[in-house]
Amino acid sequence: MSTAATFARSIARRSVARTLRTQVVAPQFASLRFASTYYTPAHEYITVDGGVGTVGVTDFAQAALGDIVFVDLPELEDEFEKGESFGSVESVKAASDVYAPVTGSVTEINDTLTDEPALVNTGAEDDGWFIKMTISDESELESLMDEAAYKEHCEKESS
Amino acid sequence: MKISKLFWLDLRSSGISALERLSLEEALLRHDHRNWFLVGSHQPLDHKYLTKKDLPSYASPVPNPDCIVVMGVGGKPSELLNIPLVKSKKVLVTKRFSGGGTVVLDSNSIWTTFIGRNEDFLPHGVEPFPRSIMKWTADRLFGPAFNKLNNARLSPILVDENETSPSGFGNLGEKTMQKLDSDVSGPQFRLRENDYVLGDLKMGGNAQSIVKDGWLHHTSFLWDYEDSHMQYLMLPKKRPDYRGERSHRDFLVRLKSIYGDSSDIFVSSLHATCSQTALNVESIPLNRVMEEVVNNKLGGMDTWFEKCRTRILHKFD
Repeated sequence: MSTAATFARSIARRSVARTLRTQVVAPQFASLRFASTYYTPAHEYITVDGGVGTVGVTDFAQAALGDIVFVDLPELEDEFEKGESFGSVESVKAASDVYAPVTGSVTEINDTLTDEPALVNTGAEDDGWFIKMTISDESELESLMDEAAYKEHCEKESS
Repeated sequence: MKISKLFWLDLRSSGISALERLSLEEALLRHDHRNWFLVGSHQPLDHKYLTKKDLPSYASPVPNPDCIVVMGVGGKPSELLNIPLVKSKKVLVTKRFSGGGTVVLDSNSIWTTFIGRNEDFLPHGVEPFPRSIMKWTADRLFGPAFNKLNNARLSPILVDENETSPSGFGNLGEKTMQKLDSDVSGPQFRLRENDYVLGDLKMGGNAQSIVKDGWLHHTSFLWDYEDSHMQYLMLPKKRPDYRGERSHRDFLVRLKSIYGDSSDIFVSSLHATCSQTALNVESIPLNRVMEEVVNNKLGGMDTWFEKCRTRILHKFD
C-alpha cells in the first residue's frame, strides 16, 4: 500500500468518526420530527426533515476527493430519479458525479458553493450541503444505509 | 496486477473531430461497461458524424479551423482566456465533462483516454478517487510507456533469435520487452503535483471524470504545438508550485523535440504497456463502437451531443 494511499485512508477513517456524530433518529421518535440521515454507497447523504431532504456528499467523500474547487449544481425545480446524477464536484483535476439518493425535485440550491466550494471540505454535512429536494417516494429511503451500515461500508473501503 | 480485458480504439486517421472525440469518450464512460484505451489526434472541427451547427456569433460563419480551446468543467473564461484574442481569431471554446485545466488542442496533440471500471480495478487497490487513479496511470501506464520509449530511442532494439521480428512494440517477445522495461535512461517521466512531466517540463494536460461504476482519465500530449496558440491562454492564478512564474513557452516541452517527428513509436509503446496491464487487449474499429454505443443506445452523435456535458461556449461571462 503506498504512502499516499495510507495517508488517504487515515484521513478517511477520521472522517468516518466525524460523519457518525451526525444526529440520527430512532424510528420510535420520528413523531417528534427529528431529522433522519441516510447514506448511499457512493457517499452521498440525505437528511430528511418534514418531507424535504438535504443532500450533499459525506465527510468521508470530501476527504478522499481532496480540495474541492468547483461544484456543478442543477437548477431549481429540476427533477431526478433515484440514482440519477444531479451534478458534479471537482477536485484534483477530477469531476466526480453526485447522485440523487431518492426521486424528487430540487427546491433549494446552496448558491454559496459557487463562490466558496471549499465549504464542502470544511463542512460537508453542515453548511457544505448541495441541494434540498422533495421526496416523491419515502419507501426509497429504506434501501439507503443508516449510520451503522455506512460506517461499516466506509471501513471496508478504507481497509 | 492485470485486469481481465481492455478494448483498444485507435482513432488515428479516424476522421473524427476533437469535439466528436470528447462526446464519444463521455458516451463510453456513461453508457458502456467496458475498460477502454483510446488514442488519436484530431482536427478541431472537421466532423465525421456531427451535422448540427452550434456556433457562437463571434465565430460565425466559419470558426478558426486550426485549434479549439477545451476547458474543464469548472473553468472560468474570464480568468483563463485572452477573450479579446479568442474572439478576434474566432477560436471555438468548449467545456468538457472532466475536471482540470484549459488546453488548446490541434492536430499535433496526441490524445489518450483510459476508462477503468471499479469491478476490475477495486480488487487491485485502485479506488475511484483522483489521487489513486492518477497514481495508477503514472506508475502502471505512462511511466512504463515512457521507459520503453526512452530505451528504444537510445538503443537499437535487440531481438533474440528465438523471438519474432518486431513490427511495433506489441509484437515483441518477453525477453526484448524486459530489456525495454529496464535500464531507464533519457528524460525522466514522472507525475509531479498532478502533472505529467519530463524533468520539470510539462508535456501535456490530464483530467478525470469519475462516475458510479468507474472513471476516465484523459491526457493531451504535446507532440508538437503552435506557439501562437498558447497566446489564447492566460497564466492561471492557481498553478503548481514547480511552474513558478514561467510562461507557457518556458513551462512546456514538445515531445517531438525528444522523440522525433512521428508519434507512432509512442502509440506502440502505449499498446505494449496496455498488453502488460490486461490479460486480453482487443482492438475494436470505430464503426462498431459507434453502432453499439452511440447509435443503438444514444440515438446517434447529433442526439447524444445535445445531451452530453461537452458544450460549446457562446458567452464568456
